[in-house]
Amino acid sequence: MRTLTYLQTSLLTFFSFILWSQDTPTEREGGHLNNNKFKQLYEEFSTPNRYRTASGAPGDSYYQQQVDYVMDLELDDRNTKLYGEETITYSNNSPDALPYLWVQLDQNIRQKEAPALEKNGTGFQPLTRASTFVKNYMDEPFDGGFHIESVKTTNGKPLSYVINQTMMRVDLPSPIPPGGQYSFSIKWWYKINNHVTNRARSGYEYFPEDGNRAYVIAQFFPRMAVYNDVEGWQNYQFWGNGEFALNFGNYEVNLTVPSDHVVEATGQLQNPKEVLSREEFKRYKTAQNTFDTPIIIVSEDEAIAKETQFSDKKKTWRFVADNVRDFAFASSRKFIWDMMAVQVGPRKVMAVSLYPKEGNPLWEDYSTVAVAQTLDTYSRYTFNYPYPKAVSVHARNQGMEYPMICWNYGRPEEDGTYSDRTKFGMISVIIHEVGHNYFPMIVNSDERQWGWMDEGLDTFMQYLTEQEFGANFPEAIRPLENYPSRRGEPSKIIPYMSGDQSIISPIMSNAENVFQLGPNAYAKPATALNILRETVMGEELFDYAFKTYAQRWMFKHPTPEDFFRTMEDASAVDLDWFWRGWFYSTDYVDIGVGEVKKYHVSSEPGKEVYDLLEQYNMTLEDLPEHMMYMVAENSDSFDPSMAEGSPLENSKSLRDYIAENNPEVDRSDAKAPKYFYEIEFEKPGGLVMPLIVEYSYADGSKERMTYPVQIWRKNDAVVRKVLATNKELIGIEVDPDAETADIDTSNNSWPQDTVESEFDRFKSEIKG
Amino acid sequence: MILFTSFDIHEVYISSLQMEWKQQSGEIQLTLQLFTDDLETVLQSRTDSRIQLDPDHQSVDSLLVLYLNEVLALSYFNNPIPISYLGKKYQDDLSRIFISVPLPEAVEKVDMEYQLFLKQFPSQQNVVHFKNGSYLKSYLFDGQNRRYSILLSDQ
Ligand SMILES: [Zn+2]
Repeated sequence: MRTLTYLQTSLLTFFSFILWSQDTPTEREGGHLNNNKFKQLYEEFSTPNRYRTASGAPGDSYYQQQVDYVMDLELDDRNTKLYGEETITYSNNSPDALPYLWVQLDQNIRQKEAPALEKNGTGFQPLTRASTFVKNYMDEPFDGGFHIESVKTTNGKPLSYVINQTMMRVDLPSPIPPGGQYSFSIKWWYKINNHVTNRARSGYEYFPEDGNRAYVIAQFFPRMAVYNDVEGWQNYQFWGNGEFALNFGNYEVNLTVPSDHVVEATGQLQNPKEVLSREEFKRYKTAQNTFDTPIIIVSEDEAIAKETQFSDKKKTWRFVADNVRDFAFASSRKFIWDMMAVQVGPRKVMAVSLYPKEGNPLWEDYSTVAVAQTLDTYSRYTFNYPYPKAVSVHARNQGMEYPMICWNYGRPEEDGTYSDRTKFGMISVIIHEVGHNYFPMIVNSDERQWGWMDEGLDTFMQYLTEQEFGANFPEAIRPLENYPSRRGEPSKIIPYMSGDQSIISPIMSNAENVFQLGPNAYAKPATALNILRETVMGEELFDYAFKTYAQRWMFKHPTPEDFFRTMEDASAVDLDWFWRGWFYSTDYVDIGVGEVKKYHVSSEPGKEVYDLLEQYNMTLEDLPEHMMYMVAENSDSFDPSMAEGSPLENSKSLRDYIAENNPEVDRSDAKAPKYFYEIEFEKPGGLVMPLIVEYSYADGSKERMTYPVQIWRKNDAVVRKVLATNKELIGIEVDPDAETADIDTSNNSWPQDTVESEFDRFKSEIKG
Repeated sequence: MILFTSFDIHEVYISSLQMEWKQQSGEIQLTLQLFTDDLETVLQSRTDSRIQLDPDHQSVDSLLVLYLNEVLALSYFNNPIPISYLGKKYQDDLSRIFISVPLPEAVEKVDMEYQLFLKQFPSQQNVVHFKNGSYLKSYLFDGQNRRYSILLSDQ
């Protein structure tokens, strides 16, 4: 807004005098606690300490445990079983001695008596399909839990252990002291599930036409739980929704599979020459230095030729991964394999895709380029991708992430055609899952407790990446101009935020206990971050702070407060009100424009002035000199002649004041605004937000104002603003670009538009 | 992980139905918003053909009308109120279905039985937002709650 003249300032003072006197309460109310929306989050946040500082950075005593794995795995394709023997080396970097270790046995969620199978209430259906009836009441349940054959010391002595659902406590002969290290081994096997029929993140898909399976195998081995300064042992059971909390470490994995399988996994392949044919190896080498287009290592024809082989021979693929929090792999003789090199900052990264022929022609066209775009965009907003490769594997109905590798859906029809929905769904899921390398694989938050920390941040980054993908590959999105992102735009969260409060939870809730996990952990936090970037902080401040968070917590374990604090620490924008409203509550945005009063400067006091004076037992003579009288256009004292002259012509006080105080001002030049409006903004919604207003004037011009969010700090329901202008005001619109997720726009304009509902619009369209 | 597909382990099945009573025009306007994938799966499970919900493909309107009449029933004092399907729109991965329900006389309440997708996805949640001028009320339909009496005003 332009600076206020002394004239406007005096008018403002006068208005507030009137308002104040009208608002004087008549009854005495009781006291209250501090309910101000701008109150700092001292109660919600834990006290900063030497592990985690008040600025949101790791403190000088910050520690994290290191867990290294050496594993020998064998995939028995014929019997769909997976065997493993692993040696875990646990480094205790904490200041505490540890008498026992907790190991996660995620596969136990597939035990036939797993409590997770009974975690939801059920209702009986009066009418049911025979297939559902058989599945629910007659089928023998699938038993896919771990068979633990042994837990041993490195000398081969058995260790005692206790299994509680998906957690195993290993009791140590003596506590591991601070700074100490302990190695032990676990031998196990389990029966692999069909992930298509069992709806799982890991398992195989069976292809009845050729009898083959494509395996995507994850959370498949006993993995150490996290021990840290926030949770102690994070041994909250795996119930299915809350994902994982995992330690960083180094992995050496020998993976034995049928010799005609193609394998991808977390880590660098150590023996490509041994496991690939001469021709494949040559292509593999070429791909390492091909930056413009994916190189096919195993072609569709070669993959089809292997479909009938069912080799009984075996091959062992050796992988090494440094500083990863997990290990996953994909294996099948049906896989087509392509890859290309991508320059990410100073390093070369391989973008890789693995898919059965059922994924083509979609996969050969878009998978590897989508991987490359993700590495490029995410790296610019966070840090350069630190791993040697990123692999996208096609698995039916899956979208799931692991370090350097992920499973993605998107399958054409049998005749090779596909809809736009399938194509954009596939590109989006690849961007999303590859993007998870940044959150939570590297910025390693605790997914078991806080689903939004990785899903929300990743979905936010996914939106930025999709938009860049659309800009870089216009032919892929034609005839659209922008990539059709499903989440991110504020308007898309409105149905959720305006929904029934009884089925909405704050973002800061555990994933197991929310009613609608999708909006809760994904769409709402992603939209909130988008609004924070575009509307509240601005891109420059946001991007710097977001990058600071990513770099501070790269290869570490952040908490929500570390994120909240860093965003403020690096930007000098107080955001406690934003976190409180968007993350800790289920409030929504609804801001509108209420009454608009037009005032004129009058030479005579109106009735309102006399009423006011009477209330205070005063007369006109008691007022200080140079008082100006303002009359509202809709009041009884208004006379149309008042609208004619300028304020200078209409007010002797104003003329006298200027003559006495600023004699050098030429009165004809004094710029007194001609129109005065007092505009009421009301806020039925609980969330405070910056007040974005567009004023339209009679001369056709428009003016955009953003009043800071602090405008709501003393009155959470209504604020008034005075607009003094030389142009007549003809329209007001709140949030004209729909950037705040305002759930009810019927109160957003003056004069009030009759907004045609979507239903009525559709009705007139079809009549059209 | 990504949610929202019908097959996801996490079973996030949700739809929303805006239900607005327009007394002047004598109708209840229904705008049903759901995931196109879910609708496709359900309609496919009811036919043998591999139908696709896509503006470029064959019309599925007759199938859809049949299905809607099966899962949505409105009545007052046991008199069924017919529903009239106007059409649908696709946007990204969502479908919007527009339905008009004639209600010429003012009644106190209508009874609603609503079981969208419940047979196929037992954990489906269907949220209904009723609106009459400034009066708003939401209802959550799911496997346990398939019937409500919708009050048309707060008097
Ligand atoms: Zn995800």
